[in-house]
Amino acid sequence: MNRIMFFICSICMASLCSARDFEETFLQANRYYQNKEYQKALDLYDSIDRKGVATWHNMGNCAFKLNRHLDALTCWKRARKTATAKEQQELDRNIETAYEVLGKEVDNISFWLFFRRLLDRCSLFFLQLLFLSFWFILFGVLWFFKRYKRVFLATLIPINILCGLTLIAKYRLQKYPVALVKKTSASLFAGPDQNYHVISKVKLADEFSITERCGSWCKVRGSSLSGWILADTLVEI
Amino acid sequence: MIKIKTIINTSVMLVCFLFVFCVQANVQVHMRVLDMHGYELEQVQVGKPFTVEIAVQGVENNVADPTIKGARSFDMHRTSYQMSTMNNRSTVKYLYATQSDKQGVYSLGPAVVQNGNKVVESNILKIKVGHQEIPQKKSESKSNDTMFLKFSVDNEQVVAGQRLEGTITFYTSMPDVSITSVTDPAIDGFVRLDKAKPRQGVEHINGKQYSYAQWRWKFFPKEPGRLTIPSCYVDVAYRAEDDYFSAFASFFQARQKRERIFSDALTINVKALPEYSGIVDAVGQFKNFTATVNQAVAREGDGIVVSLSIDGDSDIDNLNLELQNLPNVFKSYSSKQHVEKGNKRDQLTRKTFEFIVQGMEAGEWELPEQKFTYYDVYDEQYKTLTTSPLILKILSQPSKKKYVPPSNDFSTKTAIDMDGDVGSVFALNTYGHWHEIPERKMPGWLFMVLFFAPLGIWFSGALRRTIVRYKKWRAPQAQWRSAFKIARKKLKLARKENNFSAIYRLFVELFTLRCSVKDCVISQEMTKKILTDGGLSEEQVCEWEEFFNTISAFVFYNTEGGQGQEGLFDQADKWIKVLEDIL
Repeated sequence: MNRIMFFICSICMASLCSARDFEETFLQANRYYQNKEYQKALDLYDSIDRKGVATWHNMGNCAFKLNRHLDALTCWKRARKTATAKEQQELDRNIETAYEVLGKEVDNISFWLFFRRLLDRCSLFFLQLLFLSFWFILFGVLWFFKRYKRVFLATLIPINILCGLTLIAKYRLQKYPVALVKKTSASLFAGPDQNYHVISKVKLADEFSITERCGSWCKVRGSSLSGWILADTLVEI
Repeated sequence: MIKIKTIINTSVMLVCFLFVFCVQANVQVHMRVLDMHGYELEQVQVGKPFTVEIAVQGVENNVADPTIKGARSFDMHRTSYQMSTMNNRSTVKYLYATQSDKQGVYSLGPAVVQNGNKVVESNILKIKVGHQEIPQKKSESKSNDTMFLKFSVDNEQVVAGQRLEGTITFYTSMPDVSITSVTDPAIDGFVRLDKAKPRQGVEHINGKQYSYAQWRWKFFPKEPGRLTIPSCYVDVAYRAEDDYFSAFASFFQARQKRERIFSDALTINVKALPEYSGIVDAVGQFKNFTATVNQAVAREGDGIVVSLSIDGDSDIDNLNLELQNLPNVFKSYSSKQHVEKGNKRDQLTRKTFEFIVQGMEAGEWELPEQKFTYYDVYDEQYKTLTTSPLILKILSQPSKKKYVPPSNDFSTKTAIDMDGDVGSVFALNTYGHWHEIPERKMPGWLFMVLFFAPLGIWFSGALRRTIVRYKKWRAPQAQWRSAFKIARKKLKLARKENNFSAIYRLFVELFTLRCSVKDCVISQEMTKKILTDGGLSEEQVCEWEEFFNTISAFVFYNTEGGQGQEGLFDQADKWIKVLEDIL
């Protein structure tokens, strides 16, 4: 028993020490960044295991300073996935700048983008709780408020459907990883082989969701396009 | 006797003569040139100090300092003043450290002394200033081979602006010599490289072992021509050799001699640079001329730091560069300059010039190549280093308001921005989580359980209600079907308990279930009719009536079952079988 306890304690201590080391690395990298030694800072940030929002954010900054704009965009997008609202505001500004530098126009007013941003800001847990709350209310009304059942149902059923769809959309977003095109120009094929017809050309930093994989090929879906593309032309976020 | 008188007279006359001579002697001033050790010189060396001694003899009272004519040709300053008095007559010696930086023959003197109302003049000196120091009497020259100072340069033929490295080495064969100070050569622009600690070592010269201390100097001659670098000196202290009471003296630190050791002066030939039509930025040896920017993309009006850096062996401290051919859309300001000295001796020094450049118009602009022209002292030709052009992308200022972190404590921790612009695009995130925080989400199974729970509850309720309804609907048929089975079970139980009244009830119930009527409706007449309709004979009906009356009596008349009536159970069993066939 004592041995088991000792073993568990050792593992805990080792993991704590390791975490402390990485925090020190993060702070050291911040110092390098402040001293404008961006490459050193980037290398240090990159050495951190299980990077968090701040690490990805700062890595993006370093990459941007080193004129690696696509890398910067990738890092910022990774940071955005788990960022808080305040962090997302800063990241959005950086991402916008990166897109501008890469010569891409960002559609700020599309519904899909608005919806995506809204989904990004809501955690899956929150959406699950929201949906379940309305779901329970719906059944509660069915059981206990029989007199005004129709009125309640007319309100609650659309809300439940909306919450359900949002939750499904969130699941789908999480299920299908997003990737950016990392080459200046690449082709989108009808099937997972270069003998298939080319559907369209894609450009640097175009964003797609990976829906399927087949060897070295990925089936991707964009806002208006869908097709197969070589995996090594994409960088996953 | 005569002889004695003669001697006495002669002695008296001599004494009188001496007395008269002493009393009546005039003040005399004499001037001579000595080296720094006090030996007379015939020729002095360019740049090396020597001593001019002015001795004023026969002074009764105090005498004013002498005035020396022709002193302007030299660098003179008084170093000491000595006075000795005998028979109320004093001899005053003035010593002047003198130096000449130009070759030639110069007149010095006379030195004029005002003694009371009389003006006394000294002799006039003809001082030869040459490349070497020549003593007046060679036998008198002191060859101080125990301590000497050597001054040399790495190159005596240089061009204007070229780096010159001089070495001053103090050699001594004596033990316990301490250097109290070392003086820089009295010329502008000399920089001592090893100011903190000189290099030390041991060297053999003419078979004699010397310890040495060595200092290095750096100098960049600016003007062409013959340049004399004057001698420099070190002050040393050592123990006197004739100290017989050394043990006692050293206790009080007495009898320690101090001496100033001078080096020779040096003359170097500085050539003018060859003619060149363009601008020459520097003289020396250079490489790695690069231009970099801290960010290739910026918004209108934002500062971009453009750095020009060059590695070189030259007067890099005084080197200055400007940005050339900057497009009109940019504004530039000189910012910082850094000098990174190479760690190793032969490593070049790097100088970086920073400029703040502001793009005033959106677009992609080229910062043209920068040129640096220098005279290469090794290849003896002009060379030009060129940087690569830089592309700068200037973005227009966004119309929307920039995000500024709120002014709560968050802002104090926030944005440590590179360029000092809080809330700008590239603010460092120092407040967020550096490590991954797993996203909180409900496990799929729990979500599904919670999702299906109300559905399940609702469904089970509905199912239960349906089953109840179904059972209600199906109950008569089931009872009709199982009426005989129930009757047999009850009969078996009644037989076991010897309960005769139960036989009546089981038959009433049997009729009730099979005929779908209420039990109150069942009467003997009714059962008779059912059996008759069922096709039983009259005898069998009579037999039934008898049997039914018997079992009814147990219920209605509380008749006790007795011996011999056990056959009723068998009859009941028989009638159940009969009824099973007809009902």
